[in-house]
Amino acid sequence: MAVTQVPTELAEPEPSFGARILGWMTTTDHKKIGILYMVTAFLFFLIGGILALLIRSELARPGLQFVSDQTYNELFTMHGTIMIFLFVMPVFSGFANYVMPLMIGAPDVAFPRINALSFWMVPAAGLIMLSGFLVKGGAAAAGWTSYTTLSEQSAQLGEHGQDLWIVGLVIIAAASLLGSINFITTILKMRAPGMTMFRMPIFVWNTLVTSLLGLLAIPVLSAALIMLFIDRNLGGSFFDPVHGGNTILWQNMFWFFGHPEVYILILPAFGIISEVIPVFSRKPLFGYRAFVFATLSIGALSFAVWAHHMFATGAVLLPFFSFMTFLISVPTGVKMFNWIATMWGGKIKMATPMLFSIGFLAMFLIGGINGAFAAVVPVDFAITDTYFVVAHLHYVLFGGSVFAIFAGFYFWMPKFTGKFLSERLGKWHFWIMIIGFNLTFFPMHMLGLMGMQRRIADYPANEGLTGYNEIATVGAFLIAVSILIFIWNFVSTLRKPRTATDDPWEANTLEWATSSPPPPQNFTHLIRVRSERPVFDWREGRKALDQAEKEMQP
Amino acid sequence: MQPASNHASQTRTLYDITFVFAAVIFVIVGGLIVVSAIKFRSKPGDDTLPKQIHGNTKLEIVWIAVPTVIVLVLFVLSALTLGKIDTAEANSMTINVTGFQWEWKFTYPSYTLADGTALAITGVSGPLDAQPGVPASQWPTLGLELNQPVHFHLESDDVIHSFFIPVFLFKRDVIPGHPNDFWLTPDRAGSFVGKCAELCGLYHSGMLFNVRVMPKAEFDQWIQQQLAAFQKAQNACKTPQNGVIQVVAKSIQFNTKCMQVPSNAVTKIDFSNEDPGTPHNIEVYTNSSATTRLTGATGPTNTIVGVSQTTYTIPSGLQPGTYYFKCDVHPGMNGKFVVK
Repeated sequence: MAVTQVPTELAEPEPSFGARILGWMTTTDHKKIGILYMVTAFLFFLIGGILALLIRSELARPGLQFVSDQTYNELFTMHGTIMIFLFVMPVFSGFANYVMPLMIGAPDVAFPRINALSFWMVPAAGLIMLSGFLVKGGAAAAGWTSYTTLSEQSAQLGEHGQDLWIVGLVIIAAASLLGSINFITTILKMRAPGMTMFRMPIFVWNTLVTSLLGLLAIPVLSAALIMLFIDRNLGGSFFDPVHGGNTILWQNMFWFFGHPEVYILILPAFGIISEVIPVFSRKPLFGYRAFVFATLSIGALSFAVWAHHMFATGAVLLPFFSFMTFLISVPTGVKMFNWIATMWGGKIKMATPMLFSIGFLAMFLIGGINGAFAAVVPVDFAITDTYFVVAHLHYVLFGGSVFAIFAGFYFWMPKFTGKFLSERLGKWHFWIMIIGFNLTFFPMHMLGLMGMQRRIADYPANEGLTGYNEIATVGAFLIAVSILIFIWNFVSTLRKPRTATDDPWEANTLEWATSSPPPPQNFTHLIRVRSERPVFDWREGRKALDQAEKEMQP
Repeated sequence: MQPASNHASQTRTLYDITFVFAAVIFVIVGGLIVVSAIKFRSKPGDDTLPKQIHGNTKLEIVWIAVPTVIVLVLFVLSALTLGKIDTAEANSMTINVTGFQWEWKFTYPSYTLADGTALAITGVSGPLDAQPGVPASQWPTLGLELNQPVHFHLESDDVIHSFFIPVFLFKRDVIPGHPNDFWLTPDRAGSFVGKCAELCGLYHSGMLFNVRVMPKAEFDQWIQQQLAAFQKAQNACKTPQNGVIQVVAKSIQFNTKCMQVPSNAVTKIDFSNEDPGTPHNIEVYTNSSATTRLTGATGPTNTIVGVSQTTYTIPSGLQPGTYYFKCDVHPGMNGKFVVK
C-alpha cells in the first residue's frame, strides 16, 4: 500500500481544449492509444447494442412490426460484424495496449507509431462499413459470415453495401495484423530484467498467443475478402459455381480464420480473469504452468476445428473435426478448474471486478457445455443454424468476453484514471446485466430445440415460439438498462478526485508498481522480478521488513 | 421435439445422453463455483493471507484425465450414431429437392406423367408478411410415405439454402454446384413444417414448406391427386389475345407454366414484374438445359427490377416445336414455350 506516490501533476498550465484533442490525435503513448481503443470500441458496442435492441424488438412478436425483411438482414449482419470486429477485438487491443507493456515493465510497445496507425485504421474502417446504411440497397445483409453466393448477388443489382463491408474488414484485418506483430515483438524483446517467459502474467501470455493466432489466421481472411471483392466487382468467379468456382471454398477460408478468431475473442478474456481472480482471492493462480500450456494447446488446436461450423454442408470429414472439437474442450476445462482452485481456500474480497469474474465463470461454463452439444455431430445436424447456436455463441462471447471486459475495466479503472468506479453502481450493473443476459439468451436454447432458425426476420405465429421470444426481448432491454448504469457510473467517476494509490487492490503484477495513472515513461524505477507476482513479493517483503524493524526496537 | 423418423429417434437418444453428461458437469462445476464464492469469502477485518498454494500436480492430472475420458466417450457415441444415420438406405424412394429464392421444388422421379415428365410439386412461399401474406395452404407440400425409406437429393439454383425438417432433427445444406444426398425413413404420420435454415436473402424467413407423412393408402391417393393437378398445370397454356400474352411475375412465380404462340405471326409478351426490388426476365431457350437461347430477353443481364413492366417481341417464323422459358435470375421460374 505504502508505495511512494510519484508526482504526475507537473506545474504546467492546463493545455487548451484544441491542444488536448490534437494531443490525443497525435499520441504514440501506448496508454493513450489503449484508452482510444477502449473508448472507440465502447462507442461501437453502443451502436451494435442498439442494432440488437431493434432485432429483439422485431422478434418479440410474429409479424413484421418495425423493420422490413431487408432492413432486418442488415441489422443482424452489422450487429455481428460490429460486435466482433469493432467492439470485442479493439477493446481487447485497448486492454493489451494499456496494460501489457506495464505488466512486462516496458516503457512502451515496440513500434509506437505503427501502434497509432493500427488504432486509427479501426474507426475509419468502422465508418466505412456503417456508411453502407446510406448507400443504395443498404448495408451488407448476408450475415457476418457473408456466405457466398448470397454475398455476391447484390453486386448484380449495383448495390455496394457489401463492398463497403469488405473494404472495412480488409482495413481492420490489416490493423490487427500490425497490432499482432507489434505485441509479439514487444513481449519477446522488451521484458524488464528478471521477467522471464514463465514469470509473465497470464494476461501477457494470452496476448502473445492471441497475437500469434491473428498473425496466422487474419491473412487467410484478407485473402478471402479480396477474392470476394474480385468476384463481385472485377468479374472473378472464385466462389461462383456457375463459372467454375467453388462456393464451399469461401466457408473453408472464412472459418479457417473464423475459428481461431473465436479464440482471439476469448483468450484475452481468459487473461483478464486470470489476473482478477488471484488478486481478489489473495492467492497465486493455481497451476500457472498448466495454464500456459493450456493456452498454447488451445491456440494450436484452434487451427484444426474450423469445419465444425460446416457439419451440415456435407462437404467435410466429420469424424476428424468432431474429434478435434471435443479435444479442444479439455484445455479449456483445465482453465476452468484452475480458476476454481484459485478461489478455493482463498479469502475472497467480493469487489465488482471479482463479481464480474465469477459471473464470467458461470456463464462461460454454460457456453462451454452447450457447445458440446454442437460437437456431437448428429445433434449438430438438428441444432446448427438454429437459435441454440445463437444461445451458445452469446454465452461464449457475451457471457464470456463481455463479462471479462467489464471485470477488467472495473479492475484497471483506478490504474487508468486514479479513480474508482462506484462499487454500489457496479453491483447494480452486474446483477441487472447477468439477469438480463440469462433472460435474453437462455430461452434461445428452447427456441432452437423447437426448430427456430437463425437469421429470420419473422416466424409463424402457430409454432409456440412467441413466449420465449418475448422473454428474450425483455431481457435485452434489461441488459440495456445495466449498460446505462455503467455509463452513469463511468461519467460520474470521471468527475471524482483521484483517490487510487499505486496498488489499491493489493495486486500481483508490475502495472501496480507505478503511479495511478502511470507517468508517460511508465516507471521511474523498477522493482525486482523474481516470480510471476513481483508486486506481491515486494509488498509482502516490505511488510515483513516493517514487522521485523518493529520487533527490533526496544 | 418428438422425433418423426428412424434417424431422428437415434439423434434424440444421443441428445438425451449428452444432456445427462451436460447436466452432471454443470451441477458439479457450477456447484464448485458457487461453493467457493460463498465459502471462501474473507471475514471482515481479517487481513492475513490465506495459504499460498501454487498448484497440485496430482489434482491437475485428474482434471485433465477425467474430461479427456468424458469427451472420448461422447466422441465414440457420437461417431457410432453418425455411422448409422449418415448412410444410404436400401429400397428408398428418391425425391429431388431444389431450393431457390425463396421456394422449394420437390420432384418425384418415380412418379411420372404419360410423357415421362417427373411429378414436380411447387407452391408459393417467400414473403411471410407481405400484405396479404402467403398462407401455409399455398406452401409447397412434401408428401412422404410412412415407413418408406426416402433418398433426398438436394440441389440449389442460386444461393446456399438448408433443407430443414425440425421433426426429423436433421438439416442438410442445399448448395449450388455441390449436390447433397441423405436418407431417412419417416416413422410418425402427421403434418409438419419444413424450413430453410441457411440465410438466403430477403425472404429467408418465409421459405417454408409443409411436410405430410401419410400411410401407404393415403399417400398413393395423394400422389394421384398431385399427378392430376400437375398434368392440368402442364396442359394449361396461355395463348395470345390480339397478339399479346400477358405474363406476371409475383412472389418469384410466373402466373403460367406454358405459353403457346403461332409461328406465322409476331407475338408480344407484356411482362410485369410485381416483386419489389427483385430482378426478373423471360428468356426462351431451345430446351430445359437453357444453353441456347431462342428469343425473349436478350440475355441473362437483360432483366427488369420490380415493380416495373417491359415487352418482349416474339418474331414470326419460329420453327414449330416445344421449347422452354425461364427467368434467368430464378431458374425455378420456368415453363414450356410452344410454337404452333
